[in-house]
Amino acid sequence: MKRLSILAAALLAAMPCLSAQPKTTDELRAEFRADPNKYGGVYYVDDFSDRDLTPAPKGYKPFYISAYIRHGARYILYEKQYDHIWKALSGARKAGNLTPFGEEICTRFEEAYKQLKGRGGDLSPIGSAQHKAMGRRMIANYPEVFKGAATVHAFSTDVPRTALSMTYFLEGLRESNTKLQFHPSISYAEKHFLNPHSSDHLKVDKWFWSDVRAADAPWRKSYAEWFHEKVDPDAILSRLFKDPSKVTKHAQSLTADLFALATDMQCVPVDASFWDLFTEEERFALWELDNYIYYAEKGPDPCNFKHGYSVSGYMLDDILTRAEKDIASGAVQADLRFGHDGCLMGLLTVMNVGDWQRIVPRDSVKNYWQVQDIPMAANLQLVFYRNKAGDILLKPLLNEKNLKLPFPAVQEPYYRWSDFLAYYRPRADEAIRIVEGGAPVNLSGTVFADGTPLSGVAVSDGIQIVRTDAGGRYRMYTDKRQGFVFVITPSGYVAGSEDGIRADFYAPLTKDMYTPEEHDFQLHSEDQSRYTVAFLTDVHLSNDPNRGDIGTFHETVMPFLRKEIAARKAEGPVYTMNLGDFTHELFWGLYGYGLEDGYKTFLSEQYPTLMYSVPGNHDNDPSVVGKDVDRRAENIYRRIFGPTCYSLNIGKEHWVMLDNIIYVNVEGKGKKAPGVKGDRSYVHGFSEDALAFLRADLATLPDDARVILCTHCPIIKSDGSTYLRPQSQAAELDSLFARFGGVTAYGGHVHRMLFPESPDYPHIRQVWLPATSGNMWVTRPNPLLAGDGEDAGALFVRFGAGAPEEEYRTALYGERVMRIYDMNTVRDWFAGDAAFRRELDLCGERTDYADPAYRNCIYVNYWMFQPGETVEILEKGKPLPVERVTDEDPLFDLGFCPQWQGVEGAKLFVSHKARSSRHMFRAKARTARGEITVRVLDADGKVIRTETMVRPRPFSPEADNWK
Amino acid sequence: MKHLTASALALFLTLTVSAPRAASQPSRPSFYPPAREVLRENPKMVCGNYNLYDFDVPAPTPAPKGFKPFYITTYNRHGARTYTSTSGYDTWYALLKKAKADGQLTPRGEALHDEYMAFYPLVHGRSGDLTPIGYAQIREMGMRVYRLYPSVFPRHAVIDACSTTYPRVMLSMAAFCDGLKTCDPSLEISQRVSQRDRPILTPLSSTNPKTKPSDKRIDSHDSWGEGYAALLDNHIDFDALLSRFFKDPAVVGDSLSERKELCRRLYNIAADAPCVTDRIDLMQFLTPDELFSFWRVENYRFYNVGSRTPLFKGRNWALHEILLRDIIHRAEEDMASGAVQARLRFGHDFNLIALVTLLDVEGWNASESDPEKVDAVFRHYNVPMGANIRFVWYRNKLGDTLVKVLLNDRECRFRIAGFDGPYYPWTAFKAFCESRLAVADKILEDTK
Repeated sequence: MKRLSILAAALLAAMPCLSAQPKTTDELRAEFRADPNKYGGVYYVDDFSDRDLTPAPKGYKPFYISAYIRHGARYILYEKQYDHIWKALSGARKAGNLTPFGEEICTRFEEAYKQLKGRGGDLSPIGSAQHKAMGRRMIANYPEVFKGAATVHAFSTDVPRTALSMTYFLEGLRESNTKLQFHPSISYAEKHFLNPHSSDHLKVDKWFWSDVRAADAPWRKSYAEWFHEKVDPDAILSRLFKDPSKVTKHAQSLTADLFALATDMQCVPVDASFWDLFTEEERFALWELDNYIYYAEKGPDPCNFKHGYSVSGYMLDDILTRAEKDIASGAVQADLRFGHDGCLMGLLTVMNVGDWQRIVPRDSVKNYWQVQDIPMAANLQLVFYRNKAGDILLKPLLNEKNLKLPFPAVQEPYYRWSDFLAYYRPRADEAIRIVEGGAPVNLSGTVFADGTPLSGVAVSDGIQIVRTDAGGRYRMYTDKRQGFVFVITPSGYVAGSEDGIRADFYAPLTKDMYTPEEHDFQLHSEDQSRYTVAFLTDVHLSNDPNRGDIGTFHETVMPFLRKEIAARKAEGPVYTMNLGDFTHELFWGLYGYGLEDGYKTFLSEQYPTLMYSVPGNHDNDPSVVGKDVDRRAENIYRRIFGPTCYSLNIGKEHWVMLDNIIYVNVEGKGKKAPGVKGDRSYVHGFSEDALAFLRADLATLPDDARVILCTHCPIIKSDGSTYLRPQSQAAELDSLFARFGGVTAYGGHVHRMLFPESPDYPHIRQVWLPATSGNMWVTRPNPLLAGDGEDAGALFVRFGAGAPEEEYRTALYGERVMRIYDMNTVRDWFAGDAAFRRELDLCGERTDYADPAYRNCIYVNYWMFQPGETVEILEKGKPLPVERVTDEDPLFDLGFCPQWQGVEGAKLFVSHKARSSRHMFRAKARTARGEITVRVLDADGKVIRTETMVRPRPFSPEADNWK
Repeated sequence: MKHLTASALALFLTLTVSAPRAASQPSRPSFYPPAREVLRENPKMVCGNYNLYDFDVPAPTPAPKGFKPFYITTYNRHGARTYTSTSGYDTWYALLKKAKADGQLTPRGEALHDEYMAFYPLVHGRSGDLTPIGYAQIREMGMRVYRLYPSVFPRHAVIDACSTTYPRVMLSMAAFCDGLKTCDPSLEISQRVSQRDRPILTPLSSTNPKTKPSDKRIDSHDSWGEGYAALLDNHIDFDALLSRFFKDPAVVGDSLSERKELCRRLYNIAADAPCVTDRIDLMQFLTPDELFSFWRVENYRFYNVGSRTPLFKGRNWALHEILLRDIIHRAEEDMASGAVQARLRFGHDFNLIALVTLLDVEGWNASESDPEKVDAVFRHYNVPMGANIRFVWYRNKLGDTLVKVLLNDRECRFRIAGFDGPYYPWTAFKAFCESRLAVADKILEDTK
């Protein structure tokens, strides 16, 4: 800081606020080589022999001193560091795990440990001598201040080494004047200006502790990576231990403790050195890493949003306030504060002196900010002078060297007190304002509705929820880890849409968390008193030439959807919920058709409604493996469809859209396909963030809210247990939803329709939706048969004044919810088709409907069967005994037969062995002919559906277009 | 250590013959006059261990001729401090403020309110701190010690001081040492605050290897809380107390335990107030009966933590063997080397009580299990702010060594056969200490 070139000095003179020249890395290395103790950073013991005593301008005499002084040299910060080292070394010695060099170090430390043990954190005799000498120097240099019964106020933090430092400093004064009046104090009442970094500082928001100071504060993640780029702890430990892995799992922490030991030996009266544990390069790197931590926590690093140094505003405030008061009263001649290194760094940063406030990239921090400038017993002294006219000047000293302030001096290094006040009072106030403003805002914006700011709108970063104020503004502090900000669209509004498909209720966050960003939202009003939601799920577009999915989708499914949606649009707005598995990640590389292509297919089809989506397992990027895979594998999905957990209000309903797939994708396992790096495995369950969002979201709702949950995987299984892992998530959901009298949960994933009930989760009404793709487009000749024999289509739910109405429409046959089989004709086909007989031979578990036992049987596959309903089967008007069975759907069996898939060498997959339908009803008729009537009664016994069949009814895979 | 020469011993014995031989008698419950009488005569005593140090002490017995003090060792309680409960101060502040605003105060309550509002700024944020009065008293104590024993403190005398990590204790050490230093700036004082000293300064700390986890009970409400609560409940009418200040005592709190706690805290705040300032009197708001009862309650607590209570089979004081051993061992080392002239230890009241109990000093050695009777055998007003025990060694030209022990500047007598004190031959006193250490060791061994 002090080596100014002539040019720089000239510049400085011209520009009063210009800071000193940075030290180049070479200069730093040379400096450390000359005095290796400087690698110790804040452990550096400076003898302060290089001091300034610039005479005061004529007529001025010192009369008051205000100071902030760091405690003197101390033993290592924490006792456990000594113990950690001893445990590692002595343990390795016993285990024969020390190298010869390790033996030497162990012996050396064993000797030193006798004197170090039990003294961690204590002021050392070197430290007490530092303070006593500083006190002696102060009274010797400024005897005018300490004459007669001068009053000295001294304040210390409650840390023993600091309290003792104060004591020794006062002793240094006392030796020259036994009349001095000391008023030392150690009190919580003064802590805020002595140690504003203390965790019991009530004015500091808890955000500061969790996000700046905590061991898991966000910035430390990248710091840890940086550490390992610069230092190889294993290399260091390998010099001591034959096998370092047997010594510690925390090589970084042991390395850091060893470095602290080496740097701290200069502070203690023990004749041993441990510098030889590290190479010069390692010492420099470890110094740089330690140096940066102070910059990040207490300096101007953007990661602390100015709070790291602003807390030192309380120190500056106390210096100003007390000086004004004590100068005015004349009652106190010295205010001496005893505290800590980081606080002093923060104070210098708030004071904007030198380069302490310069923001530079992490790699350059070392060139501008050097913590060895705040060594043991570092101190800032302000010596006040007065002339006979009462004009007051002050001389600032850092470590007893003249300190240049960022405004003009009367005569270097003497500044006018009034200038000092004028410059620093606003800075102190601003710093305190920043601290007391609480957590910073790094995300904000305005929500507009029909062009006007809208208040009370919930806005979320995917975890927390805030509301817009009267001016439509939202503000939050977020770690941005979900990567989005979104509006929870209020009822009666809809977000604008650029492409006509995605609602622009969200915005991706583009800046790092330390950079504030703004995102505005445009909503427009819409009459949602009546509206319809269409559910798509497991669309599974894959561009597979064998499946021919793109063609079927274009020729059959889209016209169906357009027609059904158009009909409902006449009644009110229609929205689509896409419950995931939009494409199929196994085929992204194989058929050159990814998620974005699926989206483009919808664009080119001019899909007719807005679509809200949740991701399915097949929406994950299979090329992503390793750490944080669940999150990273969703990046493509997020780019195309936006947030994975969010909610919106439509009409009277609150729709919660939640990702419940944790992608695992174990590397190197599973099916091989282009671009697939793992086994594409996954777990059914919510991430902690998803649950946090759900809790926060539901907490905003009144008890009478109507909540609907959309997930890819259903919550409840057919047997009433849950798919979720851990299972406790389902119980939590159930209890969260209880307040609203329950929830309807729509899920896809299983490619089947079912309305399972669960006594364990009574507040969840589960709806399984059949896949829009049938069974991923593979059945033949009808490609739109779903897994339990359902005809693929879409569920349309109409919302309005009354209860929601669920209508299922099939792509091929319009309204159809059941298929009735005359098992006599089914039997004929099963018995007579040679190819099918071969398949049955391959797979013995399959039901052979050729068996005479099925003679005269009636099978009803009723996929809209809901709890409480009764299915009646009548032969010529007379009811037959009906049983609900879990049995195969004959048409699906034939449709799924691999021979008919036309795939060369198609194999029978294990999972294709038997596909039992869970909504099958069976009766045995007395005769083989005559009319069969199927009636469905609701819970009140009211007939809600009636269908008839005249037997014999022909059966073949080609000719199923019948009722 | 040299033995007393025959002539010195003879002289010593003649000196002590005239003194009453009470020390060799077994301890009697009637050692103390009835508490109520003492407190009536000296009402300040109801402050118990909040009492300020009384410098008005009896003149010391002159040392035998030719004997001069040359070494001192001490254990010193910190000086006057504020009440340690932040919430105690804050709760009463909030309560009175709110009751005033709600018009819930009686005229007496209004008076309490006004007095408390003047008092509160002095203690806000400062609970447990050494007060300026405390600092001044301990500094004064340092100066007095210097003046009492100038022969201990030649120029450049070396003094070793250590303190627990409590700010009030550290500052007390600083004050004492500043007092010495004011008398002679050439003194070479080493002040130390280290975990390393913790087992000695606070022997109940878990860093003392002789403690066991269950020793945490000693300073825990769980152990003596029942007797403590009974003394409170049987002798104090909480609602009557609160009714003097609040029109409806229910505004204070719904639960009885809440109201009890408030009353207990008011006593503590009031009894401690003289440590903070002499301009405010909060004691006036409690009746003499209430004060007496609260005093008995707190007296009972300190008896159980530090003294001969039957609750812990003696472990509470026996564990202080490490402190007594340190005193003896360091004294011998220092006297042999001549390198250190005084050793000062700064700590806490109950450790001082336990040390005195370990030394079997009259008035500190009675065992009493009935909470109602403890005040007959134990008085915690004997450990005021700044309370201290001081061991002073004297020698003559022949090298004979005597020791005198003072508790709060009052001479102590011990049950040492053949000697009435207060001056004891070092060998005899050391033998006595060793016998006491043996008792303590046995207790610790038996209760391991």
